[in-house]
Amino acid sequence: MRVGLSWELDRELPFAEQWPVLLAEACAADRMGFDSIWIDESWGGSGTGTACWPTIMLTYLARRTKTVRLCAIRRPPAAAVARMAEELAVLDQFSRGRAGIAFSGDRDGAWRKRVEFTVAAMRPGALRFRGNDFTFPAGLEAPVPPGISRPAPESTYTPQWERGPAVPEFLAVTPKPFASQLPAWIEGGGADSLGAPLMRAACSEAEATEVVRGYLEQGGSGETAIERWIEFESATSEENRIAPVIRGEPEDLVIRVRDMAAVSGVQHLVWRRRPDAAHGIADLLRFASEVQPMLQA
Amino acid sequence: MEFWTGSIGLSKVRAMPRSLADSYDEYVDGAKAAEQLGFDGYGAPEHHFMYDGFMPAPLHALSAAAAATKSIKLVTGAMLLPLYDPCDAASQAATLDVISGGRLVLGLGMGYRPLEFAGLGFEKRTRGARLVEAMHVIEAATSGEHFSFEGTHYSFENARLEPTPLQHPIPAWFCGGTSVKAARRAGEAGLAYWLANSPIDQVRVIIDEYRRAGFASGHGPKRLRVAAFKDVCIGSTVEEAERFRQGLIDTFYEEHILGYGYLVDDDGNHVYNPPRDHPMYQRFVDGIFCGTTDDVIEELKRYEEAGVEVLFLASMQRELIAEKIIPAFR
Repeated sequence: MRVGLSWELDRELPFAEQWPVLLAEACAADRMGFDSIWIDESWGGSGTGTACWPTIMLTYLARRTKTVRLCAIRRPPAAAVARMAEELAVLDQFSRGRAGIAFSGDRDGAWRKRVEFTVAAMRPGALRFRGNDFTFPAGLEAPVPPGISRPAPESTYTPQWERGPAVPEFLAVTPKPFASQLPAWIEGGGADSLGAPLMRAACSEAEATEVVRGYLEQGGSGETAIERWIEFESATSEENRIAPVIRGEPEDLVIRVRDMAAVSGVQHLVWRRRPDAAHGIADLLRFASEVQPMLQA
Repeated sequence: MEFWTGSIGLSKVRAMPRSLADSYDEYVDGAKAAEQLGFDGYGAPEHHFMYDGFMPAPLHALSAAAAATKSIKLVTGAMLLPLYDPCDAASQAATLDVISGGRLVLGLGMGYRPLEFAGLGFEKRTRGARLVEAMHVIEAATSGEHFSFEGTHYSFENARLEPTPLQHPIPAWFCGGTSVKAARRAGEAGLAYWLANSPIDQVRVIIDEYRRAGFASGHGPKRLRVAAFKDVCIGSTVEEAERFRQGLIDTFYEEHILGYGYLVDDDGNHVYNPPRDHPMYQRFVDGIFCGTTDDVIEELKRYEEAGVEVLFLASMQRELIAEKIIPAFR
């Protein structure tokens, strides 16, 4: 079982007061051997997430951490769609292959097309895309086929700097990631061909279990992830079963997490938490030293 | 006088074959070195869809630099603002401003490569006007709690920026290349102006026009500030410096300056692959100053006298500049 961290911020307090605590906890988690850091996109003062631009914060962490995976939870953008692939590749290069992406946001046809484009744009080579709500590059029309297409091999090669002002029909989104393929998750699951499910803390354990099991039964090979609130304190097993928080002494936590993994098959636990300047790093150390070894065992 | 610098890189430059990840490491190491050497700012550029993987996300690059430094200003040079929604750009900038402890400076250009506009889905024709409006949006958005803006291209009513930056507003410069038209546009809008590499005579012409347009539009000297990119090649003799310049041109600049239409003639037309004796090309080459340390100090003093208060020296001779040139201006 891998273990990562994600944060929910207090919307009454400025980000500027909470981010330094969060960043310190992320760096400490890296030193303690946690497996992943998840920063989720949040807008408008009503969200519960961490940052408006997760990849900027994660790129900062790329140079402050050594081994932890740096995962952005992001909606595919409605405009300048290629930017998301660029930013993820930059994060992946700065972290030497530690970037991950969980696609979030409301599902509609355009969402799926944008996700497919982002994934395809990070792969080697040039591409074009023709859809109803965007084309790449702009202005593509029939007879260009709908969806993603790749260029045929050129018989003669013209370097980019000799092509002049004409916009080619196929463009390579650059840079490419350090890794050959970024790990991808889908918030809430349900798009199995695009990534493994990431079940957020707000969803019930029953729902999370059903989605994760369904993904694995369909032959999904990605690393399934469930996000849960975790607190150290005494609790009865009955309370644990019904509460959205996994709460208890280290042994209780181990039992609950192992049970969850046994039932659902989930492979990655994401610890949802609030930045806590007073106790945060002590809690991380306790988890790393008392809980994680027993999860590994 | 402030001195900013940057790194040639964040790409797989032909002159220095290496992995992209190594070039990113060198970029961050360069930020640390620049801070230790006493430079005031460190820059990151932006271009898209380049075969060599050129940096497309300058605020991300500066975020990596922020993690390795404590006090140096983090400067986009240039971030191509017409390729962003201005509120998104302001929000990204505010994010980095908070993370870096209030060290961000925005150098904002209009962009010129057609494929970048096509690839990101923005109109190229209106980029100059949109740059001016978007800079006003960013100034308003980063100045206070709520803001409104009504323009030809952008309109916001009682909007609020998230997150709130540490600087109010985040300082911003209009990167206008070497064009008198762009300088006039920046002056009329009361935006601080950042010139590209040019010989000093051309610099004086551009600054005069910028100030004339600015004063005529009612802007005072506090708003009409001037910075300049200035490449300098230093040698023990002028000939040695010129050989260094030729190497820089052969391995880096020719492709960028000639192949991608960076040069703009007096009629506003982009020049692609002009002959080497084309006046625009010669003006660019002449803008890369060659000389001994004393010659370079003398040349940069001319910039200071012309009213340039910030010089961005994108030189590979960073240590020499820190040791021999900067002290002459402190």
